[in-house]
Amino acid sequence: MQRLEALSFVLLMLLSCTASAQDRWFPEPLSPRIASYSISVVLDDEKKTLAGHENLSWRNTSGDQIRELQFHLYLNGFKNSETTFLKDSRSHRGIRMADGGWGWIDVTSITTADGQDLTRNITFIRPDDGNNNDRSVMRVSLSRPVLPGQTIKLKIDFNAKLPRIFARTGFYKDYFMMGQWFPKIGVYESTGQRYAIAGGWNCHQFHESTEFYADFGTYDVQITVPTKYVVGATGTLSSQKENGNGTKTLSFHAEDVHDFAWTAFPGYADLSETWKHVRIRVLIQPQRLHQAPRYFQSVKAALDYFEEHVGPYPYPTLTIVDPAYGASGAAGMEYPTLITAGSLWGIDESLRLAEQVTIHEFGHQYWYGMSASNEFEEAWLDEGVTQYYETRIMDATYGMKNSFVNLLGFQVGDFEYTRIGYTSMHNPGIAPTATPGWMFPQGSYGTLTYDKTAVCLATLEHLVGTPTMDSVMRTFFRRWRFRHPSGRDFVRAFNEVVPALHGTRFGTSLDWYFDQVLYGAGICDYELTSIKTWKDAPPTGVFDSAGTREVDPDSDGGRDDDVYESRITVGRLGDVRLPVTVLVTFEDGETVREAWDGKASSITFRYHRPAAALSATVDPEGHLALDIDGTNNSKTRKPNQAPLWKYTVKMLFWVQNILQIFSMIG
Amino acid sequence: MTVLHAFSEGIRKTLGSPRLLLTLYLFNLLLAFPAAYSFKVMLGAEFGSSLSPEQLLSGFDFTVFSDFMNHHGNALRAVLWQVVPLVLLGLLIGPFLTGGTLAALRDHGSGFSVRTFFRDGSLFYSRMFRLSLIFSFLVAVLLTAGSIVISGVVSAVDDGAMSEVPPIMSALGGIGILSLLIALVILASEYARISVVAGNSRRMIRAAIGSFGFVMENFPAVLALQVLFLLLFALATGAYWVIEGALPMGSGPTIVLVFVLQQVFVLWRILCRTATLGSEYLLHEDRKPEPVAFYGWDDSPAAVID
Repeated sequence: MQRLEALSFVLLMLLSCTASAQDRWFPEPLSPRIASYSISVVLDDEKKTLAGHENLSWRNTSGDQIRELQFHLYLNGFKNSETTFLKDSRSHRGIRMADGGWGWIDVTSITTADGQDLTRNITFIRPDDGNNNDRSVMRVSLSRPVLPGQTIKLKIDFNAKLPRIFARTGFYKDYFMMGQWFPKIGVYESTGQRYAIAGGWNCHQFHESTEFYADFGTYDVQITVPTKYVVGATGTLSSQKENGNGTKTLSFHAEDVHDFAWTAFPGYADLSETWKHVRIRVLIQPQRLHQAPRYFQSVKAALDYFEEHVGPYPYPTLTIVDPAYGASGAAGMEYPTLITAGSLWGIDESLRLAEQVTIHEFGHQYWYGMSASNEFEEAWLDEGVTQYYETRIMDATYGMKNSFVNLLGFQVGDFEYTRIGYTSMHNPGIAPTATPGWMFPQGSYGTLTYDKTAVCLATLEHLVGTPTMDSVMRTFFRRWRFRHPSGRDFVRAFNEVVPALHGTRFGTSLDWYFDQVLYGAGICDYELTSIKTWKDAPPTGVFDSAGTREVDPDSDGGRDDDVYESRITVGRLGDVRLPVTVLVTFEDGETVREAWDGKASSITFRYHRPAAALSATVDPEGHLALDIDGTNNSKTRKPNQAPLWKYTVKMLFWVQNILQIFSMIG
Repeated sequence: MTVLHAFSEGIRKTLGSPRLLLTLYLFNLLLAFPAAYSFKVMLGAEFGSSLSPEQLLSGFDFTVFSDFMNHHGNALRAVLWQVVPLVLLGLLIGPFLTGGTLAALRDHGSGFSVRTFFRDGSLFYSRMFRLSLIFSFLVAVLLTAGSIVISGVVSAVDDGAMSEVPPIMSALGGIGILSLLIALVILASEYARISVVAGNSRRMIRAAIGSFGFVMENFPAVLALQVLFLLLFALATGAYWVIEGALPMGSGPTIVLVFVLQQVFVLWRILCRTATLGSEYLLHEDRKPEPVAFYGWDDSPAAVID
């Protein structure tokens, strides 16, 4: 089924490729295409401004009469120090905006296609925090409602001043990265869509720890820039023309996407390769040209992996942007069919930062790009799921123990690195992962949404098995691509697929798992508490049996074999209850595997065997990645001193060398 | 005396003083041992009877390491901080060892004795210590001034840079120049110590100034000698890394083998260091400036008075 689907998409792509560049990508829309834009914009690279005209076509797919429209004006987050975005950034990042670094966007005119002027109906609202200095959400009241099924066409003129890049978008000298640069209509959620108990606009303010949410549509964007610039953008280049006045205009087209980003810089080296139907374009800084193969290789590995394990990538293009030095704030970001990665001159494959960020940002083409969850309210659903796939792909491609760092014997796998991000938190239980983005306690947003989610999913993968996990994710992706899934929809996919494949082995649903690890803030920590063993003494005393009375029945040496009583106690130190396996090894080499549901605070296993218990391990295969402390998962009655001596001699050696160095001064 | 001759003679002298090498090695081992022992005790206490250390036998395991650091890192940090006073102790003992070593090299041929080593080490201790202070101060001034200059240059280059290469290159260049200057100071310190021991001098500032003069006047020879010993050391280091990398340290016998290899390397470092001092001593004695002749009234050429 998966291969047939992939083949269908490839055929669709081939068909689209045989047509001219201006033709549609897809013969039939892949998404509802609720919000479609036709934008023309002129960049003034001296003043760092944009002058834009936007034609927006918005369709009311709800059953409600819409009397107002709400728009995101994200650039207003950079307007002054008191905006919601910058107030959060100042406290979280210590950011001070450089002189001339402020940014904003002004909607100078908004009219309907039939000429009705709505400009005076513009107000600004603050649905999240009531901050009067924040103008990142614009409301436009309509004199005539948009009826169910009706489409409203708007003409919007806007001017924007770009901020100095420190968070995704803006300029640095003549380097430009344009994200969230145009007036972007919010999402109207009808009753029952996601968590909406009544129809309404889901249009949050721009916060430091939130990203974006928008409807699918088509984009036709004409970008006018000075001739010297190399331009990259979402979508495919339809046409390019010289204007004769030192500028050129490039037209880009994209279908079934919910955002449009672009970049311009005169110094880009422009490279291309292909993967099946996809043209991969890398815009890289000239001093990092030698690292271009790493971008291509890693993104192709990601394309292969996603196609095999999740579903096909339908778009004909993907652009990878390597931001300029000094514009690193634009690195590591995702937009439909365009991602920003990042690298540094001189860093080789011993530190796979370029690969890691490329694979991660490509993963967002699936989780956020096609499965367009609400990044404000459920950041874990895109960031955490993407992080989970990043670790899978990195470890599968480069090696589980050294996929991220492999330098002079120091090795770190990408999943290991992700896990330590969570387990090393000062307070791993500070908040549930499923917390709205702007409500996380300070400093915990990134670790909980990215790292903890990935660790939770990896733990679940070990519990249910990788084939089942893949089956669930394929189901979820197939059902929710080009739509807006909620976290509950994600859980529902597990509740549907896992019982279908495994019966009641994991219960009738997996709510017990997600309620603890996603919607709860509990910590998982199992401990091998104790091993106690003693030799059984023969029975002594007076015994009545079959009408006879015996005293010390085995005192004549009737028992031939030694028998040992062993007691293994396993404890649950955290709140999270997960099924665990306990492996007990006896002195005669025999092993016993016990299964425990992990619910009680402790359990004791008792054995009466010819050999004493030697060692025991909770979760011997290390499947419970969520367990924050693996060092307490095992005990042995005869600790092996060799590891301690190994590191002691290393320590001795290094101290001796340090003393030698300092003795050269003495 | 040529550089090669000084080089080979220095090595020959050093190899001819095995008890000197052993004395220096034992000092090194005795100073390092408390930290290593504390480390072993800490590991045993923190890991307890857990099986997780066994995963470290097959190689570095980041998960075990990071879990250990999360939950037992404070104990490890406490042990690592113990290295600081040991290093300070090493700095205090260093002048003693250098004085004793140089005196032993000076008196090579009359037989090494531990008693004489301790006597000479004590005799020259205050002078070697004062020289350490002088040259440490010079290095500190160089480091401070150099850091300020380098950071200023890098900051100026970095401001508005569109590529990271110019700032990186300017930083590397600055660090390279600073390293050469510090190396010059360290070289001068070596010859200052030699001149004090060789001439039994009590004037440290004069010795320090004179050593800079000696180094600059004989710079090619001084540098060549250092390069030869650095090459020797680099070869040994490379060999050690290759051999140690090939030994898995996954069992008792291999751990013992690597331990022996490590101690041979430490001994080799001590040998190189001592041989360097020996060669420098020979070079210094061969090329040191002749003392200016002082003509007393009864030594002056007779004046011819017309």
